[in-house]
Amino acid sequence: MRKPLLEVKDLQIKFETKRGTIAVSDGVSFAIGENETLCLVGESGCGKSVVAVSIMGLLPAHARVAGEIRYREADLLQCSPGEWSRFRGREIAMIFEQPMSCLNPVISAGRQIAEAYAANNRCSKREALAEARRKLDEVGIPENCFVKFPHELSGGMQQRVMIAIALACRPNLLIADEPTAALDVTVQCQILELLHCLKDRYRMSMLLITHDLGVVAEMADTVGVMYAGTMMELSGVEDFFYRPGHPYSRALMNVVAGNALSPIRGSVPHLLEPVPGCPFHARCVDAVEQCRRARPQPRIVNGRMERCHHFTGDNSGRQLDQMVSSR
Amino acid sequence: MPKTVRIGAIIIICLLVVACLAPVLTPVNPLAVNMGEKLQGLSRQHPMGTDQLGRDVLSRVLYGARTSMAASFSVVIICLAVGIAIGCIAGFYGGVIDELLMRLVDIMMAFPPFILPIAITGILGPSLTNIIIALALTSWVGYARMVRSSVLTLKHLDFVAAAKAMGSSRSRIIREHIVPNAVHPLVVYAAFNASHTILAISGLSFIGLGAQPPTPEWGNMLSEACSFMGSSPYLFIFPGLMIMLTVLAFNLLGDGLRDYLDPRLGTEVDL
Amino acid sequence: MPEYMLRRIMMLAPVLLITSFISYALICLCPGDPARLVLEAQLQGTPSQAQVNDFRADHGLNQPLMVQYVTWLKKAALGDLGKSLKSGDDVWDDYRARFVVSAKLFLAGELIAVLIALPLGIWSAVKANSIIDNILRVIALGGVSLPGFLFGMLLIYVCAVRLHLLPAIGYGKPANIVLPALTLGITGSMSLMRLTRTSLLEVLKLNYVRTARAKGLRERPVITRHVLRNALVPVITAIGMHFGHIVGGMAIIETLFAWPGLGMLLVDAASTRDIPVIQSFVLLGSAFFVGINLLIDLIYTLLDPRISYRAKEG
Repeated sequence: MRKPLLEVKDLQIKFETKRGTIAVSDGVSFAIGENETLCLVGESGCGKSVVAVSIMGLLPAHARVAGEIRYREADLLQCSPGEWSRFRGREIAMIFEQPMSCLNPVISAGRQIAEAYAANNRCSKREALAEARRKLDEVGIPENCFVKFPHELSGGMQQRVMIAIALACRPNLLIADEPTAALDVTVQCQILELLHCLKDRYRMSMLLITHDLGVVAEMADTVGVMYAGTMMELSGVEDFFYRPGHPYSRALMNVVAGNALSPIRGSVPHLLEPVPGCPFHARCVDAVEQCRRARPQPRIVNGRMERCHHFTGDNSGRQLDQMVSSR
Repeated sequence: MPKTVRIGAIIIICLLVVACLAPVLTPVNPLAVNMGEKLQGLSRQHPMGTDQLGRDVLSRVLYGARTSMAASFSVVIICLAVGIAIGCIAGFYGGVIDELLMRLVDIMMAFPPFILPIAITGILGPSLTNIIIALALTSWVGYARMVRSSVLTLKHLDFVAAAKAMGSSRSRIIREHIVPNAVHPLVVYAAFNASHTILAISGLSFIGLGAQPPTPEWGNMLSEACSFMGSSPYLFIFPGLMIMLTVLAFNLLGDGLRDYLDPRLGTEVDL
Repeated sequence: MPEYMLRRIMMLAPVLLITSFISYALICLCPGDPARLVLEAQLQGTPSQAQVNDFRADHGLNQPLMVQYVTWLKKAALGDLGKSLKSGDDVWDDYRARFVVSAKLFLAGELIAVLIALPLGIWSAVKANSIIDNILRVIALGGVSLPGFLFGMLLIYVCAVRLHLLPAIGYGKPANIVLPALTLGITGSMSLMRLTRTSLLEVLKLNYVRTARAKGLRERPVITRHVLRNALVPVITAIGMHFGHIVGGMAIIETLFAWPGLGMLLVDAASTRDIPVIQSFVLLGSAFFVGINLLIDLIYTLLDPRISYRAKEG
């Protein structure tokens, strides 16, 4: 197997707050190869965004990060702030949800794109502006929006500007954190299509965070399922959809499959009070005594990883039963 | 509760105790003139020395706490009462009444700082009471504005609607739901207002528009001390320290309470 | 934007009209008959009834308040604010001359305040919770609790009385301005520094600052280009509001340093109950302050494109 572009190993992120330390990410590991898309899914509040932001090195000052984030040869966590900033924009770029709040309200759209280009390339102001115009065209924004301010653009347009900023320096890895969460459904499709198309054109790898399994089906090569700061399952997209292993994955799938009457019962545990055993046991239909006592360790069989005491590597039979019984 | 709040509160309580017990703490009459003992430095008999009329500085400083605390508390309490009343009326009844009251607030804010209090005391005549009236007349505005905006936000909250549905009268809703929920920002504002008031009273007394001699008042004492700065610096150091300590205490209280009562967690990055 | 400003200016007319009425109506606060009180002060004794009647007729005090007010306002609009009861000087001439004197002191003080507050406030915010930040915060907290006149007295004591470096009080020589300007500057810088710090910390938390970093910008351009421009808006507002101090807000400091500006004029008028001076003072002061506020709004629309946009919509 070729060396992956980004490799995250046993990432531990803790926030020190007035009310105690919160572990928002506990032992998350994954890898993204060249040209590959990894989708992180999970309910809100499970730590997906924090993992993404930690790869950019942009976590707030009270965050404590341990583990390893390896981009090509470099271990980003060992970098000084100055060295890390050289990866941002040029190698790894990120687009966020809520584009309105992520764009500076007092600088015109064109200048914000030009600034991203100028930050990582030696160039004159005029070159940067010209490059920004090309990018604007590429993401499908009309020419006259170049001088407009963010509040004068629609949500979809704002997200296109964010994409143009992210792609200004042709990064190798694009992190997209719920890029369509705040948008209308029709606009969501356009943005996703745009991302898909640009990914192919630029031969980028992508880390896409979403809770929309439809998006996952369309974009992902690999799927990571996160729950309460832990990576529960990491498998190829086909395995994930046709042979979902982890009870949590199956529960997610059930919700999407139209069983609106069977949402996952209970809610995500509070991170301030870590539960013993498997974090999902309180909501799991298959939980047994062992799940309440011991934290499952990741097990890897046939290229897929799962954290579940029930996991044996062959889920096909059980999955079929599950599908039949739930219909 | 943060440390700053506790320190501020302790200093203020001490000052209040001093203000109440001044006659017990110092048996010396702060007004007793004794020309034979004028401008004596620090001694066992007069721990803070005596002034140009031979009066005991320590007892004047302690009685000064009485003047300052009484004056600033009067201003704050008057403003609170007026501000809450007007803010509630404006916010709750809305419409023309609200419009009129808020224009009045705007107009009061169109006067530059300090001018109106000085002008009002000028016309009323310089005295401590008139300073209190002047400061109250000009500083209720902030309270009214704040109470009105709290009332406006609270008015739309569910529990008010529920109370309405249960048939509570308007005055009851104001009393039981709106006042307690608007109190937090108001307390912080009142603490800062108290510190401003103390600064204003001592400042205006310093320029001769506030408490008149021989009333023991810190600003007053400072202005008398000006003439003897070279020979007797202690005359302005002690009252000066007291003003600073008092203002600091209210600032600590306001700062600490603001941080403590502010519900925002401090980061926009969603987790 | 021109429409927006025009609307803003139109809204000022009623405000100015009412403030002018309040300025004149201050006379109603006078305990007892203003004519008698003024004459008592002027003659140092009890005036005769005839003197009182003459005074009232001369100053139109026999007419109803509204008539008095309208007459006064008409004259004021033509630049006639009456004469000081104490000195007999023309109030408008006096006001103009003293405005310049106060403005000099204010500008010197504000310059010092800004030069201290902005760099230290920004430094404090960028290095939030470091040792430097904590030291600066303690100093600022002490500083805002230190009344200006007390700090002024300390400066006089140290620099003039003990070290004989500078003249303590007075006006005219260049050295005279140093101590009052330092007093205003240093005490004024403390609240400005706190404001700068909190405002910067507010903006540093915003999502678009994260975006700026995500672009690969170094810390310095992130601060200068993205944080400062937005964070300084409240600071500029505060500095603008400080300009209101020219027209009397520095009364205490001016009196301490015997700096013959507007503040001292006001205090003199207030302590001698010079009613025409007090009235014109409040009138001109509020007109100036309203103008300053208008100017701040104008600067706002230049700094933040969202404002005129919102005004256009709503």
